[in-house]
Amino acid sequence: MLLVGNPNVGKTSLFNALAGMRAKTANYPGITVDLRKAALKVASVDNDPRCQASTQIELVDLPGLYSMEPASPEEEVAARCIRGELSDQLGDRPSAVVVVVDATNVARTLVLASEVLEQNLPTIVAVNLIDAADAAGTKIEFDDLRRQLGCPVIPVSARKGRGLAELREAIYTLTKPAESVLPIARQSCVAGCTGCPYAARYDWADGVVKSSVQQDPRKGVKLEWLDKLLTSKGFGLIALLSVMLAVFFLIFSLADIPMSAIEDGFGWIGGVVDDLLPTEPLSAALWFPIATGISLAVFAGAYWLNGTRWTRVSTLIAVVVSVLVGCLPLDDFRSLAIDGVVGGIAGVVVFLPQICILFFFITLLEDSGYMARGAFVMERIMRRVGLPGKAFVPMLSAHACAIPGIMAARTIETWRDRLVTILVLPLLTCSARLPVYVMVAALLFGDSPWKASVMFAAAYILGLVAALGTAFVLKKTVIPGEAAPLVLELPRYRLPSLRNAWFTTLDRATVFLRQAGTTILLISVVLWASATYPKLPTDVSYPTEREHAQAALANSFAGKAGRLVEPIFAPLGFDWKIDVGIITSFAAREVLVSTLSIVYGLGEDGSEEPLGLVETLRRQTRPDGSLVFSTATGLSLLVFFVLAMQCLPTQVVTKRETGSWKWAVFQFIYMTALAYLTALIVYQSLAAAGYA
Amino acid sequence: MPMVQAPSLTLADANAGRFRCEQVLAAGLDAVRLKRLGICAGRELELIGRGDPMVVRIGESRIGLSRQLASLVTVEIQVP
Repeated sequence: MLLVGNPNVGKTSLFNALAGMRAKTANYPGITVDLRKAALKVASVDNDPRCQASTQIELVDLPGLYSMEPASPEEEVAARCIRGELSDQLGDRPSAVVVVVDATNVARTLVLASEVLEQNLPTIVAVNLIDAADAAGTKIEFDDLRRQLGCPVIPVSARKGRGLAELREAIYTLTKPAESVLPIARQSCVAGCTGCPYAARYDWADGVVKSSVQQDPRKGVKLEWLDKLLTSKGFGLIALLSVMLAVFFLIFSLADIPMSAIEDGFGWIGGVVDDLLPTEPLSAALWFPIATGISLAVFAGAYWLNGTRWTRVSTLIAVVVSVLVGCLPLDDFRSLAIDGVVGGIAGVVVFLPQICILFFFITLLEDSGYMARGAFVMERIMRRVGLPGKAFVPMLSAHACAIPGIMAARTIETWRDRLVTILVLPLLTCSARLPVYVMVAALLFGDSPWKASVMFAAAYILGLVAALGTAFVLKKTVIPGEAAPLVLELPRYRLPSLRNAWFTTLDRATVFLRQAGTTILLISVVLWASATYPKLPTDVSYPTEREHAQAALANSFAGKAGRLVEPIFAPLGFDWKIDVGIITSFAAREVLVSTLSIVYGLGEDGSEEPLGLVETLRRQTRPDGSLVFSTATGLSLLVFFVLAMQCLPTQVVTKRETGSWKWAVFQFIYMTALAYLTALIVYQSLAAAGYA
Repeated sequence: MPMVQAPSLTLADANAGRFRCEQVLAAGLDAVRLKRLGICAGRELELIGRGDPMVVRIGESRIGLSRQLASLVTVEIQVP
């Protein structure tokens, strides 16, 4: 059972209203597009009204499409699903189709319905937004519509929950066995067709509407003055900037509370794990199976979340790693469990509140019809650098986290535009960079909040300018061509549904956790190992815990790698300790701060030391007695972190969305090169000016 | 005197008002993107906001349209 419809007809709202909590995003092998599906429970309303039997139907929410002639990869998947060409991946040929049309715009949305009806599948037309049509004074003769379409037509309002029972009933009646397929045959090209099949379809749809829809011209709210304002050159841009600023203000002010709650929660979990583990080493015969079992359980959980199958390779990896974990001494196991696994999961989940709030507001804005106006206004600016106006929603999302931004790039129709957008998105300042900015701001401008805020604003602007500049360079070099010119529907304004925003947010959060969560878990375990091994010789003792941790890190693989790359980063003003931070933050930027606090001898939790991290960093000197964190080094480090990739989960998502590692590698190389060169210029010119 | 074919008006050069779409000269994907939103030979449309991009009304839909594509749509003025 497929749910089909134009974009902006409230199709996803209808899906959410029908499916509720039972929806899940499914990943079909061989299809790059995520489809949402749900097992729909429909009451079988038989001849006997006392019959309470119910049956399950699998409902698949296809991506929105305007016609069976696709213009984007998502639309292509939707069209092929309807034609039954993807039955290898999806199971059976669709047994029925629900086409959603917009009651406030019947003529346009009926065009797709006519194309679907020609597929000769059992079809139901659901006329959504019936409440909005009522309010606008539009009256639809459903009996007449049914007669002309030759299929069941059900008025619904997904937002108000009207007509859902009737729709379920119609779905059941249609899919119940022994139901004959409705005989629908309509010529796609009527006599006098001039080679444009759409003209004939529109004429047909207009004819249907003329006889079955009446418009009361006195009724309905006219929002044309608002549209004129919001799409105007000057005011439209100001309005868009204010909306974006308001969304960001809400994100950063509302996310604070759940974020600290999550941090506390994971601290508590770490404590519980610490207490649960035995203090004295158990006998190997008892400990080995326990540790191996726990490790296997973690693998099973991660594979389940990520949808990884238990193939030979993945099973082998899980077993080998688990056996290795089983052989670890107790202290190492404790450190792995608390710092590696719990800490790694906490590092992902802590960004979840921001992402959820962002998606909640973006869904509300999209539902209200405003987002299309935003894209319309931005088109003027973005097209100059070879980006489509629609890229502004992904760019907005990327200011919280690049991963949802890259996923949001799917709304961009053409492949070239989508690729350019994905490639430049990680340059925008995401929230994982903020801990680094805060540290540098405190280090350099701790005495002047005014200067610190200028530095923050400059870092955001640098990211934005770099992204737009890179898009321009890509347009001239690697990915030539112009952004596809704009043809964009500006949907009618309507009141957004909180329920729909809630379900969409829930869905996006799950996808984020699945895509980013398992990767980050893996990375944090690898990083933990590289910062822990090889271990210090046991015969040397250190007076304090902190000096021990410092020496252990210096002796580890990460520490050695830091010394190895010192000559490469020396021209940027970094010493080997900063290099260790760059290596450990390779996969996740925010790790830099905690690494620096260990490598400069603060112990694991910098805040509890008498001298804070910032004060300690400020006092660091080079062998020649000069300060390590001069203005030149601080700004060079800042610029490096604004521009460098330093986020492996983003790369995994880039690979997934572009379909090959090629673009992920390209993204990594160009961003690292850009970061290195810019930081080099900043350091060398500031050093020459005497700020080193 | 030879017949002079009047140069046809494109949507890009039109003033606000009602028009009948004569021909869509776009090719490939651009043509599909225009036509499936109703910018299609024989259809009536109304230009309500000039500029780049411009706003066009077709039936009950409003469509944002770049000037570049609008220059590929020839129209004739519709007298109300």
